[in-house]
Order: sequence, then structure tokens, then C-alpha cells
Amino acid sequence: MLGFFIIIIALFPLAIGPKAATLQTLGVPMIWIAALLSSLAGFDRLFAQDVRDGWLDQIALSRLGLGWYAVAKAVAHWLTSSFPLLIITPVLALMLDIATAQLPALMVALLIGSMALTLLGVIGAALAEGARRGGALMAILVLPLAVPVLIFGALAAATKDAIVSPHLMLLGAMLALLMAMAPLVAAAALKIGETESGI
Amino acid sequence: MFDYLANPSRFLRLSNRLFMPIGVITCICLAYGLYLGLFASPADYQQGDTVRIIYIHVPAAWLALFGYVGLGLCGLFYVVWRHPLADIAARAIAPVGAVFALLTLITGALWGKPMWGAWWVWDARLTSMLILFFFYLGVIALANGFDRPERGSRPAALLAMVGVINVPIVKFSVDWWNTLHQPASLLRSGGPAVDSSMLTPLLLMLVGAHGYFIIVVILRMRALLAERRLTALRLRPGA
Amino acid sequence: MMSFFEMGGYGSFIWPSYGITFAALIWLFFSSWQRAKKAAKELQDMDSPKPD
Repeated sequence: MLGFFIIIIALFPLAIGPKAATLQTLGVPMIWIAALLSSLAGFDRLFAQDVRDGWLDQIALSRLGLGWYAVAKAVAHWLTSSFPLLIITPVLALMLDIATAQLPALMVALLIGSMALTLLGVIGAALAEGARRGGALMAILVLPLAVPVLIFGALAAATKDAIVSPHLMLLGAMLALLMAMAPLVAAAALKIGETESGI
Repeated sequence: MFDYLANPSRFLRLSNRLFMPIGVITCICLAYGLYLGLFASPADYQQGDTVRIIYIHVPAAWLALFGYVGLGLCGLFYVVWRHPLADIAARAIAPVGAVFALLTLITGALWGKPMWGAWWVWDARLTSMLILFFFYLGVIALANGFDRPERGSRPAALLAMVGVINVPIVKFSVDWWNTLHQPASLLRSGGPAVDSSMLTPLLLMLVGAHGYFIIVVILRMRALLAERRLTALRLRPGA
Repeated sequence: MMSFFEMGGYGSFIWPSYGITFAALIWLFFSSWQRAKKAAKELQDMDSPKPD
């Protein structure tokens, strides 16, 4: 997935043309879209294997519970999908002609935003678990939910001369809300699948 | 009241009795509202005759929002209190609300073209309505996206509840985004001065639209209840 | 009469707005009505089965 994005971002300037001005305006949003897509990558299979193995039933009965299980999945997904993107952002910033002074704001915004998006992805994956055409379904579920994160994330990333901005604070608030909500919603959604799957 | 209505047959009896009266009121309001809106009300001094579009645009937008809040409430009733009719109501409301959201977008575009010169503007309200429309599609897709028809009820209810929290957030964030990116926004929201010659048709259309909404939702609920009974009867051994 | 249809030059926006809206709402109403009638009829047939 990461390689895919590097290729796209590398080819992007070729499509736009080398004029620095356009590239600069679009650089930060491009990285954001890449972050959005990485956060959602592979989500339709997030729980599928565990449901099939019956592992989900075990967890539901255990002391751990489905809520923490969802959190664990979110962390694992973030570490494998979003974190690499974060690491490579400085390199991408170079390719997209983003000012170095911009980098701290961009990275902090991406850090918080990607965590928020991952949690949204977990909600979507839990809701769509067991559905036909899970991938497409997840996209339409998560899209409206992701809009505020995207808006404030892009604004926070584009802040000049400061890392912390009102946009970043709002983004942080959304992350906090999601941290509280996502495990509950995901657990409730997975429970439905667990009690009804009995194949 | 909600406990009273939890029994499907009671609900059907009550809705049957209310159907005609509500239908009549709806028709009267819509007819009179249309007459006033299209004929007897003045054109706006700034916007000319295009202002007449608000008589359908505003009710559509209002009902799209109202429908979504209703959907969220049904979700709450279904997930938390397991009200038997909540799922049926949600499934009935969702397509109607979605149609209203789409109509809002279409009439908004048809109003926007002569007013702002563009079919689509990333104005805060239109963008929020677009996201709301996607929400509706998501709920409908989720509710019907499983092989077993009723498997989708609870996920859709959960999504609707999450959505109701999200809709104000989306509205807020798009507002914020819009004022920062388009400082020269020329939208005069809601419509022109609320003169009584325009307020009356608007209110009539609003009332009529609500009535229409209730009528169609009742019809769809009837259909869903009957279909569920049919499935249950067919699955019975020896049927 | 013509000026009514013209709507001050905006006719081509106003009439499609009203037209699409009413077409959609009428379609929605009738399809819901049809569905309710069809289901009710099938239910009736079930309860009082016709001789084969």
C-alpha cells in the first residue's frame, strides 16, 4: 500500500506540471488523501478472519471483551498502515515541494488525523462485517464520517508559523470523542455478527 | 405512547384511521401553497422569480434533516429499547429522507445556476446536504447489504445513531471550512425577507411536506409489516 | 399567459425544479402505495387460500 502511494505521489507532479505554485497548493492535500486511503486500506478484511475462525466468539466470552479487541485491531492497523506513511512524509514533502517550515504542523496533524481515521475505519469495518460487497459498503459508511476529520486535518496541516492551531485542537477533540465512541460502537456491531453468525 | 404503538396491529389500526385526514390536509396545503407560491406571491426584487424555488427547496431540506433525526431516534429505540416497530420505521423513513435530500440538492443547483452562475458551489449548506445524502445511502446500503434481510437492522441503527452525532459536526466543520476558503460568499441563506406574502406559501408547503412524509412512511411501514408477516408465514412448517 | 411560463426569464430553472420534485414525490407515493397493496393482497391470499 505504501509503495502504491509513493508511486502516485511521485507521478503526481508529472501530471500537474512542474510549476512550483500549483504543486505547493496541492502537496499537503495530496498527503492527506494518501493518509485517508491508508487508514482505510484492508479494513474490509479486518475482522473477517477472526469471525470465520470463531475467534471472535471466544473474545466476546472472555474478560477482554470486544471493545478492547477493537482497540487492539485499531492500534495494529495504525502501526502497519498509517505509521509508515507518517515516517515517509518528510520525503514526500520534499517531492511535493512543501516548505520545511510546514513540516511540523503537517506531521502533528497527520498523526492525530490518521489515528482518528483509523478509528473511523474500525467502526465502519465492524458495522459492515459479514455484509456482501464489504469494501464498497465501507467506503460509503466512512466517507461522511471522515469529512470533518479531513477538513480540520487539512486546515491544521496548512497552518503557518505554528504547530498548534484551533484546527488542531478541534481535530484532537474529534480524536478524543472517537477514542471514547469507537470501541463501544464497534463492540456493539461485532456482537450482532457474533450472536447471529452461528453457521 | 411508544409502548402503546409497539404492537403492530394497534399501529396499523391507528395509522389507518389517521391516513385519510392527514392525506386530505396534505393535499389542501400543497395545493394552496402551490397556488400562492407560483401565482399569487410576488417575485423577489433581487432574485426575481427564481425565489419561487424556495417553496420546494426549503421544505425538502427541512424534511431531509427531519428524516435523518427521525432515523437516529429509531436507531436509538431499536438498539437501546428494542422497540419492535423502530426498525420498520427506520427502513420506511430512510428512502423518503434520501429522496428529499436529493431533491434539495437538485433544486439547490437549479436555484444556484441563475443566482450564482454555477450549478454547484461548495457552499456550507449544500456540502452538508450532500454529506447527509451520502449518510442516507450508507444507512440504506447497510440495512440491505446482508444476505439475511434482518441482519442489517442493528448495524444500520447503530450507524444512524452515530450519524446523528456527526451531522451537526459536519455542518459545523463545513461552515468553518467554507468561511475560511470563501470569504466572499454571496449566499443569502434561507431566502429573502420573510414577508408574509412569502411566508404563507412557505409554511403551507412545509406543513404539506410533513403530511406527505407521514403518509408515505405509513404506507411503507404497512408494506414492510405485511412483507414480514408473509415471510414468517412462509417459513412456518406446513405452510 | 406566456409571461407566467417565462417566469421573468427563469422559467427554464423554475419549471424543471417543480417538475422533478413533483415527479419524484408522485413516483415515491405510488410505488409505496403499490408495494403496500401488493403485500396486503398476498397476505389475504395466504389467509384465505384459493382452491388450486
